[in-house]
Amino acid sequence: MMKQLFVLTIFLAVMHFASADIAIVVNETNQIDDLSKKALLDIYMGRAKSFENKLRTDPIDQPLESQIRDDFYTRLTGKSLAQVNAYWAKLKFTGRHQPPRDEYATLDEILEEVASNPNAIAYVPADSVDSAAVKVVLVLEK
Amino acid sequence: VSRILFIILASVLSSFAAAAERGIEFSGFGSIGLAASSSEQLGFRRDINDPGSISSGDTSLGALSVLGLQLNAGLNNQLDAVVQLTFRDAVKQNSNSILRLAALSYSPNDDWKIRLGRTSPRIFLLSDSRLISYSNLWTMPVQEFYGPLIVNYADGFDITHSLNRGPGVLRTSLSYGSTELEYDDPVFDPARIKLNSALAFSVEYDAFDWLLRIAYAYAKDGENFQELESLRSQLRGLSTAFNWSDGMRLADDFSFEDGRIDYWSVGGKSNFDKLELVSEYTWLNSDIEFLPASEAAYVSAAWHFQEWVPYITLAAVSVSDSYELQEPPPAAAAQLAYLTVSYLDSRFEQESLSVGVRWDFGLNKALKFQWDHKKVQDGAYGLWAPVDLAFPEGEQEVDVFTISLDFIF
Repeated sequence: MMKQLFVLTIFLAVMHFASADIAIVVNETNQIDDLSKKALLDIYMGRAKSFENKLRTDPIDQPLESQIRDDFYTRLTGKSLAQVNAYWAKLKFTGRHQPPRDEYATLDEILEEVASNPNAIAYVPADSVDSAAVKVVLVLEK
Repeated sequence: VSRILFIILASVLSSFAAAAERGIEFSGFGSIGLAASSSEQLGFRRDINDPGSISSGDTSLGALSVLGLQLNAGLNNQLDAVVQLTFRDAVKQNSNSILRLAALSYSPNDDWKIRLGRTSPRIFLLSDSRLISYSNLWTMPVQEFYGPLIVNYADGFDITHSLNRGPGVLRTSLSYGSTELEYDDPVFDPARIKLNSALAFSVEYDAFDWLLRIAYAYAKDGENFQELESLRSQLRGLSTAFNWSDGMRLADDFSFEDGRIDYWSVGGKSNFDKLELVSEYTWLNSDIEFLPASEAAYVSAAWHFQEWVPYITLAAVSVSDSYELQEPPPAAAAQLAYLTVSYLDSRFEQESLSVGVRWDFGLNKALKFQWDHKKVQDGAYGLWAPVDLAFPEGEQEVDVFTISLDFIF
C-alpha cells in the first residue's frame, strides 16, 4: 500500500510540474519589464547576448535532468530536449557559443543568483516566485 | 610545431592562465562507431583523409570513433578562449591531426565576433562539426558530399557579423588562413598538401526553424612537398632522356604549386513540425589536376518521433574530367607514367541511398544505425581505397553498414 502511495505521489508531482506555468525571471534592477517569446528564444539559443536595453544577458539553465528544463525548451522551441542538446553541442564544440550555465542544483540557488546578478535571466515554476528581488518578464503557459 | 601554431598556442594558454580564477570549463564529445562494407574490391573510406579503408569481411572501429576534449575560459564579457583536442585514427598523429581548435574570441557587442587562431572554416553546413556526430543526424557526414572536402582547420582569423532582422538572424562570415592536409598514400607515406591561403565567405539567414546559406571559398598558393618534387624531377629526367614530351606535361600537371581551388555552395534546412529537411549543393572548380571540377548534392529527410528519428538521404557526386596520356610512354618510364596518371585521374562519380535511425536513448547519448547503398561508376573510384593496390573494372554496387554511439559530456 505504501509503495502505491509513493508511486502516486511521484506521479502527481511530475504531473504538477509538467502542467505548471513557467515564469521567466530577471533581476529586479533590470529595466526590462516584458520580454517577447522571440527575444527569449534568441537569448536561450545563443542568438543574442543582450536584452533589448543592451544589458548583457547571463542565462541560467535548470539542472540537466530536471523536468522543468524539458518543459521549458519544448514550450520555447517546439523541439525535444535531445534536439536542443544536439543544437548546443554544435555551437559549443565548434567554439562559436557557450550554452547557458547549469551549475545550480536547486531552485533556491537559481533564484538567489538572479536576485544578486543584474545580468541574470532564468526560468522557474511560476508559483515559486515570491521574492521582490526578481521580477517576472514572461510566463510560458502550459 | 609551426611558428604560427606556437604563437596561437602560447596566446591561448596564457589566456587560460589569466582566466584560472574566473573558472575554466572542461567538456567533450565522442563516438564509438563500427563500419562494415560488402565490397571485396573497393575499400570504404568516410572521406579521402581516412588512413584506413574497409572491405568485405572487415569491420572497423577506427573509421567513425573519435574523442574530443575541450577547455573554455572566459576572460571577461568580451574575451574568451577555447582549445579542443580530437583523438581519432589519423594518417599521422601530430599537432595538425589532434589540435582542432585553439582560438581567442573577441565580441565587442552582440553584432560582431572576431576569432584569432586555429578554427574550422565554415564552407558547408557541417564543415566545422563533421566530427561532432552527436550534433548531426547521421552516423557520418554524407560521403558523396563531404568525402572529397577535407579542410579540417585554418590558422588565421574569422569575423562574423550578426544582424537581427525579421524572424531571424542574418549572419555574414569571413575567414582567412593557411592549412595543411595529409592523405594516406602508399607511395608518398603520407601525401601532404599545404595551402597558404584559404578564404571562406558565407551569408546565412537563420530563422531557427529554417536556415538558408550561400558560401564561397577558395584555397590557393599551394606548396609541393619534397617527395612530390623528387617524383617530378624523375619525370623530367626521363622526358629529356627519351625525348618524351608527354612526360614534361605530366611533370607540370603533377603539382599543387600556385594552384587554386574555388568552391560555391548553397544549403539549407527546415523543420515542419516533426519533419526535418536538410540539403546542400556544391560546385568546385580547380586548376589543380589532382582536383578536377566537380558537383555534389544531397537531400535528407528525418522524422522526429520523440526519441526515435528515422531518416533517409539521397546523394550524388560527379566529376566530369578525366586525365589521359597523349602518347604511349617509353618502356623505361611506363611504370612512373601510369602511377602519375592514376593520381591525376582521381575521378569520383557515384550516387547513394542511405536509410538510418537515431535513437536518443538517454541524456546526451544517441545510438545510430545506418545502411548506405552506393552505385559507383566505372573508373570513378576516387572516394575509395584500392584493395590489394588494385581497383576493379566496371560499375560497382556497395552496401555500407555503420553503427555509432555518440555522446557529449
